[in-house]
Amino acid sequence: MERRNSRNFLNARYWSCYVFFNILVAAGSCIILAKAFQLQVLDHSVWVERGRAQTEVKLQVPAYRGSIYDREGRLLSFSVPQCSLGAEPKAMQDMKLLAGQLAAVLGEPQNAIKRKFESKRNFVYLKRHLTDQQALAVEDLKGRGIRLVSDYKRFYPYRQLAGQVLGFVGMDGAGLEGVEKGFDAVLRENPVKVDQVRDGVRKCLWIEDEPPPAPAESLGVKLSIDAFLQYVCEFELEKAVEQYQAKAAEIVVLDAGTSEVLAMASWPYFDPNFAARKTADAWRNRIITDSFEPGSTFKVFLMSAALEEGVFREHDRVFCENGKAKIAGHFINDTHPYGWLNMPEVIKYSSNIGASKIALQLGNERYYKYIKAFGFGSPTGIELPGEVKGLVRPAKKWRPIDLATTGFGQSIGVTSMQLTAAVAAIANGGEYIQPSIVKAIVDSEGNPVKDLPPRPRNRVIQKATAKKVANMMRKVTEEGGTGVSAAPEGYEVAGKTGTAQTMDPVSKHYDSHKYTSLFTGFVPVENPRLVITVVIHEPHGAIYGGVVAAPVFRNFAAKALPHLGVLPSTRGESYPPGVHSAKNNSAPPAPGPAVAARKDNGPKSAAIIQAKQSTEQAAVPKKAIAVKVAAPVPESAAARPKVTAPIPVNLYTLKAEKRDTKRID
Amino acid sequence: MMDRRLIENFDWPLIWVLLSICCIGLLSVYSALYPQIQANPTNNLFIKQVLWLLVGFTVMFCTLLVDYQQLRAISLWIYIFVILLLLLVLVAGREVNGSKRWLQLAGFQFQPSEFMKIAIVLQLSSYFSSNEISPYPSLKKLFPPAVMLMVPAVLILAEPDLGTAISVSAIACTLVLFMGIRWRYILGLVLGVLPCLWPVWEHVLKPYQKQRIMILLRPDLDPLGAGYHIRQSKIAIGSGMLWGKGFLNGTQNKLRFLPEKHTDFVFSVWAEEWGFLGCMLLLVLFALLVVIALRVARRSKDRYGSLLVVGMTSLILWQVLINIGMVIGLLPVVGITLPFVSYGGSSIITLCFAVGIIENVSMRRYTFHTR
Repeated sequence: MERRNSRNFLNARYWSCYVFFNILVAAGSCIILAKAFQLQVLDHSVWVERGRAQTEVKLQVPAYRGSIYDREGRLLSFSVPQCSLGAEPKAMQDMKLLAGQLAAVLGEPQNAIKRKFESKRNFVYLKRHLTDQQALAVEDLKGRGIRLVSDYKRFYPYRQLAGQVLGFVGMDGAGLEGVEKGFDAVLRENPVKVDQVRDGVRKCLWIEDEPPPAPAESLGVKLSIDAFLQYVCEFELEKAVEQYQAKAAEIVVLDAGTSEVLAMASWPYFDPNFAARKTADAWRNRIITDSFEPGSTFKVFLMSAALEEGVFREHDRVFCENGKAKIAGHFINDTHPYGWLNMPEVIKYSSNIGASKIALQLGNERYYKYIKAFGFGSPTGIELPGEVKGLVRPAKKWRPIDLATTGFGQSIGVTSMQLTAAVAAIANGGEYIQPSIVKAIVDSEGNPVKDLPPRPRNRVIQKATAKKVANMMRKVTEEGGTGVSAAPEGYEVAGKTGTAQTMDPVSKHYDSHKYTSLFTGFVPVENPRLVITVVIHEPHGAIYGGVVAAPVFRNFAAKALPHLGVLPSTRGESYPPGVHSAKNNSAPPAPGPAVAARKDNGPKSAAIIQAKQSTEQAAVPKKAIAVKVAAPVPESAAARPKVTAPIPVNLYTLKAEKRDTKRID
Repeated sequence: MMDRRLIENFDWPLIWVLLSICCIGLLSVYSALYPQIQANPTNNLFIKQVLWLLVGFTVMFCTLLVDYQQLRAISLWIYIFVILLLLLVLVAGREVNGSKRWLQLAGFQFQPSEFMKIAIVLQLSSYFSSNEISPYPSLKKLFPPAVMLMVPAVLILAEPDLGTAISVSAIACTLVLFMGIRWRYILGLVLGVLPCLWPVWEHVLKPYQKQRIMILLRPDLDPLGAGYHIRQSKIAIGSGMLWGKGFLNGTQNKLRFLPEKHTDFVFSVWAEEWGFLGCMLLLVLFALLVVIALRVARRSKDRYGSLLVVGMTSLILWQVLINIGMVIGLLPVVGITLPFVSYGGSSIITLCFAVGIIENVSMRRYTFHTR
């Protein structure tokens, strides 16, 4: 009975059941397969892309600081791996024993090490930048709560060379001064990226047993500095500093065509390898951070402005009052008494009275316009940190006496960099070009990845005017001028001497014993290559720019120009192919250097201060007494066929020579 | 002792299909656990899975030895025993991820809720095959099975293990449907359940469960939070494309994006490495398994055997549908494993026992029963 019932039951129930189950299976399978088809065949690209996006990442390779090169690719600054020793005090067991062992290795007192062990932090540095021997010795002690940490130390192979320009880096690799600071972001940045696969717990995997890439060197900076020229100028500057026991000194060398800095040195020098041994005073790059009164060198800008504005023409004359004049109620002195001088002679003999009269004729607003156009009163924009803008008071605040003294470079503050860049504008034909020190951003191989854009340039004076001023400046270094000792044999130099009293920062009075000696100029006069400014602060024994500073210019130029392929002009000698003469044989060669400078503009401000007390009011001449002179001063001198001995280009030879004269830090 | 017909009626296709599915399972688990196997070639979950399969087949063989009719007598005791185990889990179970599902016994861990699936099939089949019950049972006759379902369902929900509770309920419902259910009951059930949906959503479901349902409706809602599992699973399946990435070449599980890669989401591993064709193969095998099992149910000469086979088949079928539906993004995420493919000892033993019962019914379809 049961079986029949059962069978009937089954027969009756089975088909509906069978259909139900089959529909369930079929429908379920079909829905699932349809969905799978959608995911895997129709929309697969969406999911493949999503999978790719969450696994593939581009990661920056860890990097160490990039190098700094000079324009020839010489390494001026780079990072060398040097381990540091750190401790994890919490993982430490036998502190006392370990401290003792480490004290022996590191040569430090045991107590100091133990104190670091007692730190509550998870990790403390015991010593940064171990020597290799120390690292080897510590190797045996590793794993007992101390470990060696990969670290880099900055190394400056040329030691003090361009120390203030390069700057230095702190213990943690941050640039603190100079290019190291100005280009810190570039030197740290690393553009190298690697494809990596990331897993679901957000860790990066190095696929296929590939070891993680070694840290790569970051981008470097290629400077326009030429290490050879830098070395020569530092050498010559230090020689002069020692001779005159100066307090400080600066030299800037610009490329006349591009206003690129070829060398810049600020004495006292410092060695960035041991930056901590010197104070912030020595780290400072005075060329851009310190301003001073430019003295007579400023007359060339006055002259440029006066000629450009047509206030005076080249052969107009001014009366120089025989050495002593009362202008705007103050007495102004010349070192030597002069009568009538034409414009080139005002520059050549550096007459303060003549300059005052020209300035008064030019007027506040017009003179101010040119001062600003030559870049004074604002930072030059060179890629170095800490630049100051100098001091140029607004023209509206100038009293007549201010206008007169500004004419010969007083009551105005400039930096050596501003002064040099402004002279470069005269040298290159009247265009002011922003000075620069960085040529390119380079990769770790030294190949440029990014050239810096050309610097802004703007025309200050006409080419013809620049030419005229350059010719006047050439006369400064010719027989009878104030800067005769600036001209090396076989080259024609255009320049201007300057001797300025220094203002005592406390009393605001000129110190009659402290002077700044300057010489600024360019060489050769035709096709200028170098613009050089030498500033020597507080020399002893001699004060005139033509005596103290000009020889530095000469000595440097004599070594630098052959290095640049500019050979001294000779008579009847042929040059090797590719080397051109300093001159186009259009003008006769410059006279030979006079051993001693004849005269310079003397101290004048003392007279002014005295004059200030006097109530006497002298009328400012409304129109300068000007007489046209028909014939220019004839130039004639015998050429000197002597060639300067070739300069050893090998820096190391020079270094050896240098080391003998170097003082012990 | 062995009847010759027992051998003759042995359903070999069922075994072949089952073995094929098990092979796919082993391949998937091997791939999912590949990094672990590399790290520890002698002692890992893959070796354990192989051992569990061996144990499972032993259990299956043992099941064949005894006539299924004998089970009718002990089904109630088995049922009560598993209920007790479920109670024991709530008291002394080991807590993993906030739920107590595991019992530790002599160094082995097992999930009593898995065994409940078997127990409920045995008990309900036994109940429905009694002489007092006729097709289309009345509400009065349906009350005892409802209690038989509710008790374990509530106990399993208390662990909490929503996935298994759903499986157990689905199995029970299938058996009731198989007995036949009057239309007015269905209507009444629908009318009774619908008003309850809102309170259930508000008060019974936990926040994470609600989130899972929301994710189903809007898959890109929270790709890193609640939607993470399903998104990673879809990425794995979708990037497998038509042909798949090839054995051991799946990146989603190797790179540790796929969660639960060797248990609940093992299908994604298979789909990523073998593509749409692999998915089709696996689904066809499961469909074949069900169809073969249903043929056994049809051939069975008594109601108890039929009900047993249908129950055991639904046990496999529902898990397959829910698991793959979940992994592929059709259903909310619940913890249900893929039969014979996912790693898991309790699950494999339960499923092997289920197939053993089906085979048992198939073997003994012509035997004469005194009752």
